Amino acid sequence: MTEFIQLVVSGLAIGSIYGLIALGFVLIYKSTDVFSFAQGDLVMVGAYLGFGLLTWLGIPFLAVIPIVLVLAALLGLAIQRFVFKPMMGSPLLIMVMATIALSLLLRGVVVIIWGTGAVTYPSTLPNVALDIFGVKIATVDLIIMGVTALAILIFGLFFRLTRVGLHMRAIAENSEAAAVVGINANRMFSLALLIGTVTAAVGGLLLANLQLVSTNISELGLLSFPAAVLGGMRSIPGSVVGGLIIGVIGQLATGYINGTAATAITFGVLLVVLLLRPQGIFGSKGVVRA
Amino acid sequence: MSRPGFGRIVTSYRQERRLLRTPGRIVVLVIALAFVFLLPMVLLQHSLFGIPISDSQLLGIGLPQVNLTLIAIMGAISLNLLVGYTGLISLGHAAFFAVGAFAAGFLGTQLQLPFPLVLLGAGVAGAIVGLLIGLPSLRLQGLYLMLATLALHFVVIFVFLQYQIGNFSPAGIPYLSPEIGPLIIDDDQKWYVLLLIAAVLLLLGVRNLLRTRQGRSFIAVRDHEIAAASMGINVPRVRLTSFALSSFVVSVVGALYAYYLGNIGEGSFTLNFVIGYFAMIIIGGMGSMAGPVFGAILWSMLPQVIQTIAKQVPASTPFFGQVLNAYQGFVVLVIVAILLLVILRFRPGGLNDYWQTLKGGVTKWPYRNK
Amino acid sequence: MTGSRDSLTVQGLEAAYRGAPALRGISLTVPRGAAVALLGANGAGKTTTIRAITGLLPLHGGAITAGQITVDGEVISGLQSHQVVTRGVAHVPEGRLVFAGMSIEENLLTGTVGRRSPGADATLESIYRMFPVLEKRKHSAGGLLSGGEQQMLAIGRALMADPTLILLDEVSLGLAPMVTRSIFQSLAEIRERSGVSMLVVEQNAKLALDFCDYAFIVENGQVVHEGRASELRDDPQIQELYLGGDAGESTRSFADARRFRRRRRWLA
Repeated sequence: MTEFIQLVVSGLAIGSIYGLIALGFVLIYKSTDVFSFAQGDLVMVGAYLGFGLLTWLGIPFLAVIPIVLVLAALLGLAIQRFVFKPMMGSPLLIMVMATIALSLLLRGVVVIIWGTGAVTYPSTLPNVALDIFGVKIATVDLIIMGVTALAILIFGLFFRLTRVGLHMRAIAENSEAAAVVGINANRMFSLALLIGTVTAAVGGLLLANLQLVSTNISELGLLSFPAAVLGGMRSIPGSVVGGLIIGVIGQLATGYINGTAATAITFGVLLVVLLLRPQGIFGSKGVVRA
Repeated sequence: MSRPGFGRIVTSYRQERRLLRTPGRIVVLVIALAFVFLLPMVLLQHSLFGIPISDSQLLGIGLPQVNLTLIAIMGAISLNLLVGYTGLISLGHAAFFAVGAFAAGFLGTQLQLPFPLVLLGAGVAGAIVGLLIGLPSLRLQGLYLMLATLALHFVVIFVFLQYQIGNFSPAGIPYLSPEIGPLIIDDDQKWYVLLLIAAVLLLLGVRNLLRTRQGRSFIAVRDHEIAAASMGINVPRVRLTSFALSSFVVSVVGALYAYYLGNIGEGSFTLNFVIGYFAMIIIGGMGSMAGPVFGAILWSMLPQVIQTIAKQVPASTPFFGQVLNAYQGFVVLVIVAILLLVILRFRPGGLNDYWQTLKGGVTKWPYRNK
Repeated sequence: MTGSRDSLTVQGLEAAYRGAPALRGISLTVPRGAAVALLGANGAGKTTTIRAITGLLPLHGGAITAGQITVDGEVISGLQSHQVVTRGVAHVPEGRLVFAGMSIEENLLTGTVGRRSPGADATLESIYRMFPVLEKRKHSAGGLLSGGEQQMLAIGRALMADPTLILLDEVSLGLAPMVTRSIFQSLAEIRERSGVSMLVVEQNAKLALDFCDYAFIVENGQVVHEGRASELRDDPQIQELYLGGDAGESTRSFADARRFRRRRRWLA
């Protein structure tokens, strides 16, 4: 029983990261209608950027976080300017392939700089095992859940309370109406890409504390897709819940069976959900038919 | 008006019905046959009509690379049928290759069924899996098919791994040399002939399919679903047919791939594999017959080109030297990625666009090709 | 008749959707404070004209190929939609296009994107006063409103931009006659209070001619007739073609009427 709870807790931790990444992914999707495959590799970039700053420049972790945020923001803007914007209006397949090409590019560059093997990440977050009612819970898990909850809260407030947030929601909801009202689509897309990239990078930084960091981390980033779909491709609550579910399932599978089964089982669950209820948990039926 | 030669100019109905319409086509066919015939000899003997050719002049390409290229061509054509001609984005390419390899292992190595039967079994298995996945997903938006096939990828690979470990070894599933009647295909030359015939058959088959009503309905569904539906085309059924057909073919190619390599493990079927094929059809030009062929050749030959360049650059050269020598695979990846982005932005028609321009220029000369 | 500070001047506007011509030379004027109607059958080019003015053509695969659009003396043809709204042009689109997932108040707030003057809160208050049903449900989702309420919302949203020119596209579409009448009454109120100019695109010619001062009739991408609303209302040709009046030839079919009238037009 205690093992179960431990697995659930660590699943919630990793799941909250998936939720964060899924948030950015859904935002990009709803604003630009593009399914950005690059999200997984942006997670990897975030982890490696952190690694580079920590090991090459010896910057303490607390300072690394804002630096990575800024770099990720710039990267997101660059992606919008050089990849998305020139190809706006192209057929969907072309745009998706562009994001795949982007992901290949990112992966290639990372490997060229850091090689293919796993890198030893210096320990960044305190990792002590707390004993709560006989269940061992790692502080790193709690910290991660706290951080992601904070990030998601900030985004939620941003979307609800600010003017720009309102405009983003408008574009995500109905791009034609947003154009009628005079919202600058390109600027909103840039913002969406910025947020999407930043969430992915932060996700990478956090994941680095839970997983071995290698280029394979981008495949973990892929798990944000089922999280987003489970959540119904709706922004915040859907992604979070979807992420948590994916995380918990993955951890339980890893704990009770093994690691490679975990991915298969997680995606298997996704498959079943898609077949039975394609609009996910929060989605509405209308959006889904071809 | 009737100019003999390379042009596409036809002057009689009888001429139009002929397989080789103009003298130009006959010339092209003869050249192609000669090339195909001489290629293995040149590669193996490293000489052409007595003139020696060095290994590096050939870019280190040998018959094995050519055979793998042929397999890639077949894989690319079958993916293109689904993506380029029917407009369905499926990430299950590696999964279907794996299904084929699995069938080859089960039916071929374990049950020792005759080779043609194994291939047929592989195709049927692929088609069944395709139908299972396709039935529910094809009624939904493209996004869901992408995700369903992504999920399929992970599930199939996992099952394959279990089968592999359960029945063989973690090192991989071994395959025997295929036997077609009295002929045992056990060296690269025999594989070359087999794969060449298979590739040509596939090419002709797909090309002809696209001329039939079925094939044209694929294209109609890709281009404008609503218009197609209003013409009476049953859109979900067309998609399902295309998906099942493509899965059938891909699984057969997967079985051939397994037999050729002699040994396959689960690690061969990665997402990078899938992405590679997408790169092939995009760079080559989707929605065309020649496109996947160009793309497959480029993708297969690029590592050789990089390798040859790497040999010229000593490892001591700062940055480039190290990178080229240590991470050739990823240099290829970066180059492909950049190529993809450039093509997607500026020339979505891919290499095929250039090919059509070239062909047009030649056939219409001395007029310009507009 | 045209002054240099008219609210809107369109000269020789030509536009096409991916090469297929839709407007073949539209010229019209909306004087300051006037309400001008743009009438015509389906596909005549009314909505295309509106889209050209607001910079929304590219969104639908179209482009302006010739001509000029001037608002308050400033040339705006070629500007992007987010630039046009800052010139005081507000658009109430065909089909309303409200944000279904957002609340009414949020919908109204999106209208302030292009607003150049302060006092958005005051405008919000006045909209609630004019359309009390919006205030009553100001926190419920826009998608839950009825057609008439959504129309009010769309108009309110346009007003939030404090515009000098409002473009109204098919306001009566899908609405019951009573609702439509009440909306046009509100529009008249708005005109009286703020003196804002209006370009009203309508298929319901009677409604438009009752409300507006002047009218342009568009057919096949060109203006084929124009005149004061009061004159047009009494014109038997217009009555036959657009108002359903019979002018003594009730047995003729619509096609006959057009052919006959067109022949007359050529000779006249």
